[in-house]
Amino acid sequence: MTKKIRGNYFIFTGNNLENGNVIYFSKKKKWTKNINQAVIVKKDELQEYEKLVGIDEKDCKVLNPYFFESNVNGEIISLREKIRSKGTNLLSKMVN
Amino acid sequence: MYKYDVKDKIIISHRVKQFREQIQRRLKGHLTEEEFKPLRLMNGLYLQLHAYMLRIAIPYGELSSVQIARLAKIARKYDRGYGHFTTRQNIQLNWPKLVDIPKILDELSEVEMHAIQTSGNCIRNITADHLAGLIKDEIADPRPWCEILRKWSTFHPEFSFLPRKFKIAITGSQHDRAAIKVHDIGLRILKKNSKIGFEVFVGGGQGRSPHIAKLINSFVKKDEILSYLEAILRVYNEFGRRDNIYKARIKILVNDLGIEKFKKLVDKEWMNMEKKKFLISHKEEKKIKHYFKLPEGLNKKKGLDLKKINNGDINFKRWVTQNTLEHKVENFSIVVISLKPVGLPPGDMTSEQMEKVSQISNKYSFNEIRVTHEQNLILPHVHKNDLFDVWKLLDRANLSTPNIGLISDTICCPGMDYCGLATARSIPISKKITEHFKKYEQQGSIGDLKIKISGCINACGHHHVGNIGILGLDRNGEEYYQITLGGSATEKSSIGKIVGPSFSSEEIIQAIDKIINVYLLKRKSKKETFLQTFNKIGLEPFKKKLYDNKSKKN
Repeated sequence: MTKKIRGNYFIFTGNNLENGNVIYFSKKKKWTKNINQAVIVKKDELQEYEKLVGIDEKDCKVLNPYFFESNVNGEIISLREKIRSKGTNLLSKMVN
Repeated sequence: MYKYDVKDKIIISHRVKQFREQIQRRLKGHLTEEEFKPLRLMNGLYLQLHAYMLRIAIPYGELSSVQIARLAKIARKYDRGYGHFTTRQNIQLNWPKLVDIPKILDELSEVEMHAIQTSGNCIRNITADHLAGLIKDEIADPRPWCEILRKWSTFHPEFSFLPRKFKIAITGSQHDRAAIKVHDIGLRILKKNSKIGFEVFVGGGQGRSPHIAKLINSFVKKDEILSYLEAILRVYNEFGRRDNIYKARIKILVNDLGIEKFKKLVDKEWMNMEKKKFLISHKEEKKIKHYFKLPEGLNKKKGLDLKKINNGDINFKRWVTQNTLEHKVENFSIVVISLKPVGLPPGDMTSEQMEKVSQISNKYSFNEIRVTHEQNLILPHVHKNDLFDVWKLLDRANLSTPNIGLISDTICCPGMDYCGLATARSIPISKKITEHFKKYEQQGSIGDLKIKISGCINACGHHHVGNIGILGLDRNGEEYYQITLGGSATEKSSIGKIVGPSFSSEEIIQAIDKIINVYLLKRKSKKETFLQTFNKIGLEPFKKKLYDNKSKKN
């Protein structure tokens, strides 16, 4: 997991195994759908959090966990993660 | 339409039971994701950007009214009330829960559907000309052959772990509507000395290394087609690369060896095979062909009611001109339902729309529906007297956009709005195009034009073979779009040429506008299509218009 790390702050994410929902590792060391509750991890804390997340993966609390870069306030840098955090509502016009 | 026999039903119900148990083991933690992934992929279940995605097979794009109604029900009950028709004639649900998958597969199996062969390194769902069995220019209906190949390839023990996925497409006409030359194997039905056989192309494909398939055999007798395909697959299975996922498709092997050497290997394998094992008996062929006969009522003569047909509504007239085709049976039409309305994702359809199409098909099209690889639907047999009623019903469901084959009838992959592999979004680009070119008079004056958009180099949106191809790229965290021109997926298939440096999402519509303006200026007459003009004048005039007086980063 810790190859080629760019940036100083990170957020851990993954999917809920049962329903596939995008989830984030929270300050309370639990998994939440709310990105605002995600813990912002400093670069030197990554290994520690990787271990915690790895245990949750084994316990089926999270599927395919990984981390991505944010800024110090937890704002997401990459477009991919921005889209992922919002979910998509392209069809709201059609479905509603 | 094909109906499951006892064997089919047993196979599907066993498979659902098996996968249900595998899911339970995964949920209990008895299987790791690494162990579970190949099992879920064998059942069409992916993990995408936001959630799981289930790809449901629609063999050769054929659906019944009962099946589409069931898809509507499943999408509403277990997903978010819509589905996405793909460029390989399948449908994807974007938000299913893992715990619901066995129930979904149970409900699918009740209407003879499944998700097998829609993923993994096996022979995938076989695609066909969406007008199979409907038009006069056909030599023979490809659907029975798709079904014969499906029976041969499903759970084929030797080909369940190929180096990579393997896609086969079949057409029964000279005019290729199934994009056979950009498939791993493309088959065209031919008649030689009044015998039916197949012209066989191999090594086509898109993705990061696009190739047009090469002719490997100009005529394989129909009885021998399975043994010949088996020989090709054996050679690929043995010599295809497994060390690099990007070099593992058959197109790379064919290209590396050269078609002559590859053909020699295939011929040697074929010669030494026990061909008898693969012969298709006439009895079996006849039995399968029987399923694909035209519906009985179609042959009952029913005269034309000119009052109904010549309805003066201008929107109806436009729709008839653009979205209907002549059926081989007199007084019937083929109706193409556009899934490309202005401002909405191409290929997406709500449960309500699917139910409406089910009802319309039940009343007006002998319960049959087709899915096209261009992400539209077809009502295959509509009597001309019923066209106005069908149009009115479709119109109420926002399914009457009269744009088939025009600039707003874009093919588009889900892109970064859904896909975990994408490098850029493609749906917003399609949306911008439909909004920019929403005037039908303008679209009509531009004429036949295929824009195809992919959100990454894997090319699920077929951008390589778009007359105008658009490829989404990530340039230092920003979405950029590379344009290719001159691609085609017809019998004269060609890979589009890159026109130059890419454009930002803000610039892309202006760039397309410029391309269209060059075409309109340079075409000889209104009958000359974009592709014909491009083939005549080449890239340069487009390049000049796009990049003159403009310094751009690559």
